[in-house]
Amino acid sequence: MTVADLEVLGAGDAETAPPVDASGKKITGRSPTRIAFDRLRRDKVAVVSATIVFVLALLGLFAPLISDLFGVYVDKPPSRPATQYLLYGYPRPEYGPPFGGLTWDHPLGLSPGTAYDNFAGLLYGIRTSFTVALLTTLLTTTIGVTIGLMAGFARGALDKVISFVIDVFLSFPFLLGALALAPIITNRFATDAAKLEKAQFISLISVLVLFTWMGLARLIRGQVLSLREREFIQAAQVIGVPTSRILFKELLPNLVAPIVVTISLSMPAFVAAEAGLAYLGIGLTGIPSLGQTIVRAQGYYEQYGLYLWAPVVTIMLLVMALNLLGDSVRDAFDPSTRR
Amino acid sequence: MSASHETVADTTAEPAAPESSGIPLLEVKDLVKHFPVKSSGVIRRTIGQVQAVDGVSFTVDEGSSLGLVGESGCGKTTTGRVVTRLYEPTAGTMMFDGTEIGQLSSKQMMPYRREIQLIFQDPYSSLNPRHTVGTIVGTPMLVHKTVAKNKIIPRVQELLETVGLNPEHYNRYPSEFSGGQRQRIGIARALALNPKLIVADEPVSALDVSIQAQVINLLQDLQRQFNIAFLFIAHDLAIVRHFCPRIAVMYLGKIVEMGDRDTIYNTPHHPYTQALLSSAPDVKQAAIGGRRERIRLVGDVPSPVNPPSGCRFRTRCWKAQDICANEEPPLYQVGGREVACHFAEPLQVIAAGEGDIATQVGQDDQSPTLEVS
Amino acid sequence: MLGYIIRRVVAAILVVIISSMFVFAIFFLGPTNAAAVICNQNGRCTQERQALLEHSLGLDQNVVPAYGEFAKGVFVGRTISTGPGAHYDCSAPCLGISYVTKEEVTELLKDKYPATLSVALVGGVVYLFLGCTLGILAAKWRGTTTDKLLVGSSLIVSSIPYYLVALLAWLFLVNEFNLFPKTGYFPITDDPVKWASGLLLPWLVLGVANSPQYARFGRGSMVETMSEDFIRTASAKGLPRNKVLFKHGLRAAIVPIITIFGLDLAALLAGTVFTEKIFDIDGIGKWGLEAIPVDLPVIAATVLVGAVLVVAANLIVDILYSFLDPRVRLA
Repeated sequence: MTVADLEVLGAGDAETAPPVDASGKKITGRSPTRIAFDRLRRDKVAVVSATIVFVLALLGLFAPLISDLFGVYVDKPPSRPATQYLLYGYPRPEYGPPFGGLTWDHPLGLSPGTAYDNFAGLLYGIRTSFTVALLTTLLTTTIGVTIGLMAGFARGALDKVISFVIDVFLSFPFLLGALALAPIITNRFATDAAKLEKAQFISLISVLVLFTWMGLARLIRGQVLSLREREFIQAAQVIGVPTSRILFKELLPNLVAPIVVTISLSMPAFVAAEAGLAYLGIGLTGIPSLGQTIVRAQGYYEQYGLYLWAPVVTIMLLVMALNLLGDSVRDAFDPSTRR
Repeated sequence: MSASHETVADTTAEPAAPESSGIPLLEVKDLVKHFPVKSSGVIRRTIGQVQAVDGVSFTVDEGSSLGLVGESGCGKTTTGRVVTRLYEPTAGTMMFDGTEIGQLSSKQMMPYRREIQLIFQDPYSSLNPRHTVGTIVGTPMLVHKTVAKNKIIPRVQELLETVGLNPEHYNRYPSEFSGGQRQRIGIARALALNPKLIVADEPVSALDVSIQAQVINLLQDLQRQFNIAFLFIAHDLAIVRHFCPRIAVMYLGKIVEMGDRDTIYNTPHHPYTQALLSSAPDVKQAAIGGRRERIRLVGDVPSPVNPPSGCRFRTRCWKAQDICANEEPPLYQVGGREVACHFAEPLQVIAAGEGDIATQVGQDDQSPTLEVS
Repeated sequence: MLGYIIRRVVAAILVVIISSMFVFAIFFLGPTNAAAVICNQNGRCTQERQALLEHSLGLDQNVVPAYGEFAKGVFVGRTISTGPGAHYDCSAPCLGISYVTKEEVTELLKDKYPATLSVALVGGVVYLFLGCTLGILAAKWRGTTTDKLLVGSSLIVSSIPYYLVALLAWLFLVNEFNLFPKTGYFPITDDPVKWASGLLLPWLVLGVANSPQYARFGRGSMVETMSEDFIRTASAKGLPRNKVLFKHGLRAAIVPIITIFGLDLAALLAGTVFTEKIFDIDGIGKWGLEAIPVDLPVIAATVLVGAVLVVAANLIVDILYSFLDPRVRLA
């Protein structure tokens, strides 16, 4: 018996690689998750959008490497005196598209005013988008699933309290709440100017998590309420399986579909929300962010369209690809939604 | 096969109760289970009790079977759930192997969880669709640590073989099996801890008729092989008769008649038992073109929230008198059975047909096999 | 039934109260000192002036009495000191007076609300109509190229973040190419034409950005309904296809759509923040946005209005649903 075998047994982990006999012949079932992923692999839209997301993710992941490669930097103006690139605060036409030619020194030109490199800003902006979206998704999923499981399985008073809290949060106007709350959290953590960047990051993530965990919690609660009536839960209880094990080993694997679907649809929502909140005035100022760039660039759209279009197109592409991928994931996990 | 079965049993810590042939394995006394009914008003107060089980007493001997029959809603499933402590009993005692298990905390209950297992009616919802067969059958052993972790898979394969499945299939998912095969997986899970008592809640009623016989015969083989006692809950009279030497008939949360299989089937004394038996189709009679007299009960089963006074069957009983409304009949000892009726007597009308019911299933008491035509 | 409704209403009121407490707590525990900000606005700020302001705004109070004061104002009205010796009588329902403009919040709300109402109501009708039409057409031509085109394009449009659509539309359609008149809110009572032309683009953008979701939902609902037995019966008895589609199919399919629309509209009415900011419309979304982080009475009022609308919409939809669909269990 190999370790892998035991994992299959112990963890009930549907995705663990099945053992292969010495003869190479294996008798293995396909888990429902595996079936869904197989279905996803045959979906052209899913493959294309996954590729786009993957490429953008690579750009974000290797942002420091790539910008090094091009010799462009996000945190300092070009090595030559900045004035050389600027004309009345605008980049000289010859130093950037669309009015100047393409120079490999600065493929997307320079930002007006600061003369920072736009390409580096874009790369790091993508990196920020992914970081925020991934972290927020991870947190909301963990919180939403845990609270949903608790509410659904506990029933009684605890369920009532949790459901009420969910209702309160759902009725709270998200944008105004977020805007009122964000500066408070920022101030709480920004004990000195150096920590401002970090504080803004924490406050952005907390605001996003605080106002979005309820959706998944409610969904999971509903699923648990219906699943716990199924006999396999009673079967586990008769055996004497501890409640925590019932929750995480018996119930949770059955919630894979709604959780995966929620994750894949909340990623684009968080990318969009990060940029949207930046547009409304909360967000990250120290780190490059696509939303911030859009805010700065909307004043220059006539003279310097590329400055605006680069982040707009990138966000559109990223959100669209993530959304289409999420949609395909939903179809794959719940074929009944496709007609 | 059976050798390793014994080894496994040796590694487990037995509950302290001494083995004694005189004491029944399970003795249930005056078991009551009520479910509260909430009002729909502003303040949801309890306005009534569903008296699902209301004072039921029976015993199950070691290695033997008790059949619990009745219409749906009569409380037989609830009884099974209370015995396995899925539901907390409202009142009454349940002695298992000499220990009262009705009030044990979930921690104290753990050793007994190993001894009492449940087989479910629905083979589709009783197996976790996200677990492999290996996990499903292996979980009891993992939780109770009865088998070393690296021995679980061989033991699962052994169990699969015992219930007639391909042991190589332990890595498959329930969705890849048919209903009958799934029920076998459920049986393998129940066997995993070498229980002394299995509560089988309508174990075959969700299966095709052709599969039912196979599963019933499997259960019978296992019972003999491992000396397991069964509390067999079913509404199919032929199957209960085939499987259980002792039978209890339930109506609206109470046992109305209880006794040996032949006593109950040949000379039912309680009007409800008589009606129930007359409603079962009679193949023999149909074959020779005859018709058995059927007792048609009038009206619906009364609500268990507000059951009739006195005898609960009186509202549908053709023998009902004033006494039935005023005085609840205790279980009388009549002709080798217990029967809760003031007017218990054999039914005269269908006396001629009784023999035929008896011949409906195999008569060989030593090794009965259910024949399916 | 009545018990269920009463229980739901009580819970809804509780939700609103807790929401407003939450806003109050956030503000009071927050680090921004409104008095300091307002004081500095007026130029020379001294310690005494700031302390005086703090006292007159009630910021030197504790959270609990301050909230009590606020709650009292909502139900019975209250007297607010506006400076040394000066008082303002604010009658119920009183949401306080703005720290910045010193106007009564209730009056300001009445002033700002028509703009939001105009944007939300007409915009909502536009996307409901557009979405349903497209959805029904897609369902009618199910499986054809038109259907696939409609579904595909709706998927793509709904994937683009709303504020980007709005921003680009404003930048290019209004500013760059002057295809649309300058956006903004002008009261309908003054000049209906100006009112409509100022809001034309916001309505269209709301319609285009939100209709795909309705188109997809409408199509799904319609397709599901059309496969029901009673539709087959209607077809079998020889009704014309369009009559089957609209008279029988739509009537059954529209209920879930209206449900979602109710909740969406409530969210819109609670403040179309992006729309109002981008198109420069003086509604409560923009108002609330500009009040942050100083003007507590305004923030509290906008959040309160939003919460009441969302909770009420949920309540109405749930209760209506339990009337319309007897399968919904009341629990």
